[in-house]
Amino acid sequence: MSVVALLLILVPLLLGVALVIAIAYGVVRLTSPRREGTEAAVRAARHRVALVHVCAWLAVPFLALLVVVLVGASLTALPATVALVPAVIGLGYVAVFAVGESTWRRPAGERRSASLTARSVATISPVTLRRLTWGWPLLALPGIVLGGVSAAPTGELRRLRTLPDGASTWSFGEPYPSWAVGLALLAALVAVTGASELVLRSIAARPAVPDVPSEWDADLRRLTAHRVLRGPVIVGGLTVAGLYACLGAAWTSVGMPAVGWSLVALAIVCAVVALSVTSHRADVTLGDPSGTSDAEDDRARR
Amino acid sequence: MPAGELQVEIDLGSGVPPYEQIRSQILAHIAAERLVVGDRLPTIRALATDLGVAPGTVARAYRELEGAGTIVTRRRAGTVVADGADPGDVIARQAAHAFVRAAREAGLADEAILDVVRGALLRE
Repeated sequence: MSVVALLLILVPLLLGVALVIAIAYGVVRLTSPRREGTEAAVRAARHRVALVHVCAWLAVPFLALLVVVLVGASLTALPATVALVPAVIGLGYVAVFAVGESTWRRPAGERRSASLTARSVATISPVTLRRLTWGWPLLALPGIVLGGVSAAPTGELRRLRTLPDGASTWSFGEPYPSWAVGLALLAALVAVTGASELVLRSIAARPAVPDVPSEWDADLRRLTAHRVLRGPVIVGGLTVAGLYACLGAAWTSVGMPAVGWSLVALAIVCAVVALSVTSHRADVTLGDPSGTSDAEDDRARR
Repeated sequence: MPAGELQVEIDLGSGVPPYEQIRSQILAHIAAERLVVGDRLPTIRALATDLGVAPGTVARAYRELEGAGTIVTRRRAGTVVADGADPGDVIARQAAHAFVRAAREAGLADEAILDVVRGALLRE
């Protein structure tokens, strides 16, 4: 694929991501509180996090469609472009949250207050989801090495088999994650993980919601962090599952079913773990900061 | 922000510089034992963001508190109330700061201020 053809793919993709960010930015600006007071600030904060969450999920099918339409035809010409699928979807998803977090209103007025409670990425992030986000690239590594080492120079898995009559024949397994595909996938996974970590930092660093207890504000941060990490966990899990599924199918087709089905089983485990972990709701009860809890309403909204 | 929650409040309209308001309120929390040894303080960036002031303002307050041995910044633990930040010491230091400031404003030289303190110690 020439540079021009690659640009023809990348430029519309980047424009698509920029469009999603612009829409999210405009919508988020609209949810800034127009009145002073705890109630208005809480309502605006709730609207903001809900709207950003919806925008992020709306961006996913849009980005997926965009990638398939633009890259679909090129997948056979340059297999490494398959890594654009997780990269664009994952980065687009967390980019919407990045915009949401970077547009919180800064404190204004002469009298200002802040809690002296320390907060960090570790205190606001769900441990399991964060570990999984970091774990997917690590779990992908053995598969990438296996694929890279065993792939033929032309990119597929090739094995010389001896038939019962003593004759030899070549068996092929493809699509197969050669070094080009595997390293591109690893780069995509690392990029999504790094981007999600940056967004977690911006969640911890954003200005506090004014006039609410610091615990309520911390819960809002935890809820947002949970929502942010869902995307990279699903994207990473399904990417790793796809990697091992391709490896497994190829090894099965070249007459090594034990290896092949083991890899397919690993792929299924990855997919199931990613989907089941992200289907859990955040362990946060975002009640009414004035005391009367509307946690049920909040759970329903989640 | 509910009453009783550990917080700092600054008034940009008052004549006291914001860094001094932050410094004195953290000192007051330590003196009142609302902050005890080992308690973590927010990062400079987080507190500056929440107060809507420049990070340098909070950094100066923290630097002065560190200089007085009240807080200490460790690479992994962040900024915490120091071992030597005994509430009694904090009160004494606060009083000493106020006394030195008042004495200098009255035109006394540093040696004269020390003489006043020595005299007071002998009399007590």
